[in-house]
Amino acid sequence: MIGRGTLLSFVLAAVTGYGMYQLTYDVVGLEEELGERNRQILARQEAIHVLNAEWAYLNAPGRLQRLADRYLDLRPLSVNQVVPVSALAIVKNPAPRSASVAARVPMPKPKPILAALDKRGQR
Amino acid sequence: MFRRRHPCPPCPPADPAELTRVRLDGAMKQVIERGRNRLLMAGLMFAIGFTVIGLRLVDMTVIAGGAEPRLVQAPVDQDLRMDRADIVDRNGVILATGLPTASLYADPKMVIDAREGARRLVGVLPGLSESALVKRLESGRRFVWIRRHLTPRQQYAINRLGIPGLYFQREERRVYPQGRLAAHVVGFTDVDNKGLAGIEKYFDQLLTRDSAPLQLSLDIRVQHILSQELQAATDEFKAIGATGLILDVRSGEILAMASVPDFDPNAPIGDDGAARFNRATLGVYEMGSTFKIFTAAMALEAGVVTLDGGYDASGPIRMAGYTINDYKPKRRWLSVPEIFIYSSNIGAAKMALEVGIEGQRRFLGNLDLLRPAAIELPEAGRPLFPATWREINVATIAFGHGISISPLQMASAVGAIVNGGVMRPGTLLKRSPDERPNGRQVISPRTSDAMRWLMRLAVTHGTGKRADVPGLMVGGKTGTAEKIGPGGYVKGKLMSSFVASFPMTDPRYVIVVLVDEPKGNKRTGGYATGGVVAAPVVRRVIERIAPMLDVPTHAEAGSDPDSATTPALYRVAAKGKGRAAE
Repeated sequence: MIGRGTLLSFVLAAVTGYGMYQLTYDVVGLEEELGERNRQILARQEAIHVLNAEWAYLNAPGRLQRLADRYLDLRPLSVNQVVPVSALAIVKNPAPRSASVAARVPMPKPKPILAALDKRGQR
Repeated sequence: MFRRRHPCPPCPPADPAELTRVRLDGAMKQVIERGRNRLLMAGLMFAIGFTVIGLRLVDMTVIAGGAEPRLVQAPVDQDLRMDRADIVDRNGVILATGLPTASLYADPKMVIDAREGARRLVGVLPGLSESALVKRLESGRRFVWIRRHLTPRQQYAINRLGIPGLYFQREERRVYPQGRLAAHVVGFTDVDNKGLAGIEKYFDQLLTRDSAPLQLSLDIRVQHILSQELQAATDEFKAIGATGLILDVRSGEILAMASVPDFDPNAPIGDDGAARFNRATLGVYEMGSTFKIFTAAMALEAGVVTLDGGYDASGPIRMAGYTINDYKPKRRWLSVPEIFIYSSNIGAAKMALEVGIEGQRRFLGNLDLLRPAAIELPEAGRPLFPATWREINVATIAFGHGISISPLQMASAVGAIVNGGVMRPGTLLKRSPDERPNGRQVISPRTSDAMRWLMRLAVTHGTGKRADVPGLMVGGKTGTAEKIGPGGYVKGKLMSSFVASFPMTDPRYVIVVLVDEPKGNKRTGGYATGGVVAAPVVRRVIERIAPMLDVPTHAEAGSDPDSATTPALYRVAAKGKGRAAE
């Protein structure tokens, strides 16, 4: 006749054994997954590396300028278009504009691309 | 041996209690005694064994790193490591990088039919010689390269052929996404990724050892503008070449450095060898009148003359069998600003002669003009200057003849002249924004100040008018030198240059532009001097880069910053003119 304590220890041993077995296989599985993920990361990093090189190639200033000349109605910025903020007269409490003042205030021209579209009737 | 437990005899006298115990004697007793001893021995052995194991357990778990082993060790390296680090510009734009490619090699011992294999390979890889390939595939070696750096398509095609004995090796191919832009600075590598020129060669070891990108001081946008304008000038004046560089005078960083003609570092071997010559650092040239910047600074610094002083330039100087004359003689007394803005050789020579041989040599030496520039490139030209420095050398060097320096040296030295007098060698490596490398004070801030306004005057009133950009206070000096050919200077073969700095109120950048053998055209009335060839290049470059580099402008309408900030100098210039009228 087996004692109650002995039975309990047998059951415990079986449970622990099964648990260990499960744990070990889970860990092996996770390690495989980790390896796979790491390989994926590396492959992605390599892809990013290649894409970065391509990005640099596609953004080479010479190419951008060629494309801008062909497709954009923009011209290089000239020096007198650049004014520091400190050079702007900022009026704290602007007086209401009279019609004559408004007439003298220079208004920005319509953007050339918009003007071009207007002309073509595409807008 | 163990002592017997019962060293019995002589036995005690028998008593009734004793009599109940079994007494063993003789052979029987001996056997049992032996068994007991053996048991004891074995037990002791086990005890020692368990003690050792126990001690070792304590040692491993408690004493020597008792923590849990870290299971998170990654089976592969976490980060992508390329064989060679990237080279990037100051904004992080890639100038050189490595791309993974496949290279094809063969193990000839495993190749079954070399002839058949070679025939089919040549069909996929045109450019391979079939007979040479057969020879290599029939060689007894175990490894022969067939083609390095295949395109993915070629690799796919070869895989489809299914020839046994062919294998792919993963390799890296160096590519330069910017192509010809900055090719002379970045350099290139051979098929084994070994640096052969430029930064690639100079930092070869660093690039293979360190995986962090190498950041240069170049700004690829500025580089593009400079190189485009240089190319345009070369085309317009049918020059054989041109070079230019832009230097930050505060830090010594080189923002752009270009040399025309240029080459494609992605296929450097196919290009003409002359195209790989870096005129900005390896080429040394007689600079001509731009040297008057140094002559004037030297004379002002030595105190032999002040801005109010001047020299008689009414007739040529004759010495040692040479005649020194002016390009466009004024035939009168000239003030120092006039000598500078009209670029008088006679005046400059007289100024330098007054400083003397030793003074001139020391001054130019202080500006690092007598030794190769300390630059991070293997291509640094050795300046040429007279071994024995005579009076006549002093006179000609005063206007830039008889001494050859590289454009880079020119830029660094002019940087020192305008930045308050601190000589900082030019560098191609990016410095942190606030880093001010220690320099050497070569002229006083006062002289530097005077030189800024002389250079500004040369643009507003002198030979450099075509370099002016309204609102940016460009200052500079033209230079036109005849090139040396067999038997002396060659008429019509010019080296036309312009050295500029802006804004002259607080100089940020120095620009040097040289055009090699420009031919005058209709637009310039046949002239090909620095003022008509190189000055407009400088103007166009400044116009385009200034908004990009955030240079403050003085573009308020109706206000002339010159008149507000340079009354003293206008007086000087006016004084010179007044005297001329006398």
